[in-house]
Amino acid sequence: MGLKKTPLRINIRQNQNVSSRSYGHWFAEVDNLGWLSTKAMCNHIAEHGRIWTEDIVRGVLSQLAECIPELVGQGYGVKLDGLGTFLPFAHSEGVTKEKLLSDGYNPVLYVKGVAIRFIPDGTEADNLTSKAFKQYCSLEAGDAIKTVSVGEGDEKQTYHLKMPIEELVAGKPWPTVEEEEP
Amino acid sequence: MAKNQEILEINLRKNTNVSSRGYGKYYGFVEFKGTLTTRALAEHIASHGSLWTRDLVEGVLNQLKVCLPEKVCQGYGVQLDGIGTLYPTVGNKPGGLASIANFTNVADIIDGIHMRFTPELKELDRKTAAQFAKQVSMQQKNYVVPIYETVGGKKTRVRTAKMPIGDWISQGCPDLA
Repeated sequence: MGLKKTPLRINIRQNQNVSSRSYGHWFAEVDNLGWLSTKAMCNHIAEHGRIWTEDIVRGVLSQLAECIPELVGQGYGVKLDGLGTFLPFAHSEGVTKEKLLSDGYNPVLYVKGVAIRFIPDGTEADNLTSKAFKQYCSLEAGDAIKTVSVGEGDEKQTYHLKMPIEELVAGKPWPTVEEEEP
Repeated sequence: MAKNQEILEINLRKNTNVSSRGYGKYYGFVEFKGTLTTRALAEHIASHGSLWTRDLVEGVLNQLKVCLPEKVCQGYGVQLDGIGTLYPTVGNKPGGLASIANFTNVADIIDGIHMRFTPELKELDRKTAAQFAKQVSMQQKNYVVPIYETVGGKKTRVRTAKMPIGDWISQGCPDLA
């Protein structure tokens, strides 16, 4: 069947943490295809054949990289329509009343970090929050993945065994470590 | 005193959650100044006197809003140099799938696909929380107490009591509520 969009491949993996309530249950994860650099993204935009050539897009993104941290660092949220909002968030340590009365409050001592948070756009036309974004993606079943470690200490090697989900459901055994590249 | 960096104002609030380990302690949070729209951001960039005018910035951002979700929904992470990386993750249904024999379709075990953001980690532009805190100049602002009232059986925030942190401490940290 022809697809309208490039599918998002979803792998599944079994929870192997014996102390977890969901031990033995299966969970989905995205089959990450890799990371596109800014240059690759600029090329992609330029390839759409619009008036924005790679150098213009790259220039504007460089400017954005200066202005977004600048504004977020002043306490503003910055909204990119159709994408989402970048917001400041303080990772703060608690301080007791006695300490405040004796030493006063110096935020530099108690705020350990200022994170830049991202919240996807949730407005009706461009809703990218998780449930809406699931509808936007074309999901496709990928592989079942099992991580196996062999050996100990410096000789320890980790293998990611893979097999198509339908073969696992049909009861086919996992490939052996010898068949896989570490 | 003149500052070389942007000033980020920090308010203080008391933790009133009795089941929290930090109950009764005071925590800092960012004095949020509101959200700038894309147009305001475009005007801000244009006001830097750079080559990029408002229409051009808005045009490129419009294009970005088409291409970025497109690439993320194919399974790529997209790195915006100096800002960070946007990438997809799965939100599973609670508890996952108990038995592989019950597997029918990946969409049935997924609640949603999140578009996640990780700030820039490269050395020159590092924007992790601890690093970014060093790049801004923090300044104390107000002690803040949200005042709630029960209206029609529903707890509603009616107003916020505020006092500059310096004055509040010099008065012995009174309970503003």
